[in-house]
Amino acid sequence: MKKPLTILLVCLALTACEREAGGNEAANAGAQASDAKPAKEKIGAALADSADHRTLSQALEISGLEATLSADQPYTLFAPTDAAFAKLPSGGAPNLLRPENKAQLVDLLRGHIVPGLVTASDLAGAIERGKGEAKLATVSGSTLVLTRDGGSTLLAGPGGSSARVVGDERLQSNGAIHAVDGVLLPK
Amino acid sequence: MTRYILLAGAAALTLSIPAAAEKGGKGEGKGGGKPAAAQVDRHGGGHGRAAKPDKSQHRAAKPDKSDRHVARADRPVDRVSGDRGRSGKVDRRAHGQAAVRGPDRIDDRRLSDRRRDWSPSRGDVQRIAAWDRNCPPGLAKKHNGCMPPGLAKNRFGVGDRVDRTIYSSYRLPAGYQSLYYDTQAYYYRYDNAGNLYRVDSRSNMVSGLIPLLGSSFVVGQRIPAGFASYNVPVQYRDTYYDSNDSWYRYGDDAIYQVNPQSGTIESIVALLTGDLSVGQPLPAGYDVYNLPLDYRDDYVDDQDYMYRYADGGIYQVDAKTQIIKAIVEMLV
Repeated sequence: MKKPLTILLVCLALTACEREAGGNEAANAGAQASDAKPAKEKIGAALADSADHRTLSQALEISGLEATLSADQPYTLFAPTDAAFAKLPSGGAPNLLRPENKAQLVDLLRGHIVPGLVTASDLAGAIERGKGEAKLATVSGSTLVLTRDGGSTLLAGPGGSSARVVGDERLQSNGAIHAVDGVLLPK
Repeated sequence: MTRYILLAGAAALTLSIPAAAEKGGKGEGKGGGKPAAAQVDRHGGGHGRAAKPDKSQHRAAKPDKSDRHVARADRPVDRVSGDRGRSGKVDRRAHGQAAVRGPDRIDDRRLSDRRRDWSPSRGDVQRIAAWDRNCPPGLAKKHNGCMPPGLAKNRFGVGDRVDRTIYSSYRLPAGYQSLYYDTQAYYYRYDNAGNLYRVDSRSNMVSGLIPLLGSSFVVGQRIPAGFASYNVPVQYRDTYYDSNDSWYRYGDDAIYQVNPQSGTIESIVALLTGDLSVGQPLPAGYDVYNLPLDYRDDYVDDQDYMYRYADGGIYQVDAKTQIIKAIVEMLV
């Protein structure tokens, strides 16, 4: 009985060592082998349940992008909160949600989505490697510039707008959600 | 019996005037009557004519009328005559191969119209407008979609006032009329140049601009012309394939789900970047490691290689040269 247990412990130790070796590599890549366990639901469903993202959820539904974030392909969404939409100039959010402005709405929302899964530690690691700055391509063709400010990550959009990552990341089965306190405007 | 003799005589007369038929072109000896000649062909050459001997005789007695039709046959009227296919047969006999082109081209157009049942091309839209009864002949000649000279230069923007008298005849292309119909609050007008305007009925001001042509993909609208064929990138074809319920089309770096019956875009199912390509340098914007959790143990950035995800695939990048070396895994 002792023998199998010893083998098991040795195996676990070896695995841990391998992980550590990988983790050293990952240290410069930003904690690539994440221990975080994603939720079972998709980004689309998680947003629909979020009390802070009513406007965004509505915008995704109107634009047709909800289907994208409910599919299996991985994306990371920088999700403006309701407070972020409320900061838009007078009539901004209601105007955006009007049916005739769908094209503009899609363009704006695409500027908040990046391909693949990007965790908070991936963001921090990339900024660190880039000596304080990293670039992240969105699926709208724009590039976000990431910097650190205190303990949080700042995003600068192409239109001169910026947003700060707020709250904890949410890992979903098809990607990640990072709540942001501003709306990134397209050029 | 006398009647039969008369009929036979009439048929003989008809057969004996092939020269007249040649001259008459589409008339085939019947004097060039436009659709009637086609009827003759359909019912078996001389039979139709034999049933009406008096007309044949009348025609034969007036060769000068046939001469008039010689000139008429030279005009491209055949191509727009009521019965295109049949007039084509007549032309082949009358004018040789060159004359056949017109009807054949019409046949091709009919076939292609059948294929693209819900996506009229820009040319189709212009033709629809030009054939509109409201389009004056002078404007139709300009081939600009019946656009008045002043209006052609002045497109409307949101907030502009639209003069109803100017726009009263600007009807939507047939395919869009069921989607954008006038209500008490709004009416829709099309400028024949690809733009649909939603106009407030009370103020006559443009409250919305909907681009119908070009590269606009908007949920709830018809997919732009030219997207009738399946064109989804190869890596997504196992996931998004056409069925009776849904079609999928790729455009503007996205894959759209389309309703096969109405041609309207129902949702955006995938967003692509189109950024990464093997053999090319890694573009700006890929500083951040972005692999899904399930693949992070297998593909870890190290001193030699970096790994990035985009458009359904994991790309291996040379860490020193930043050249994309390979696609190491496809996720779709």
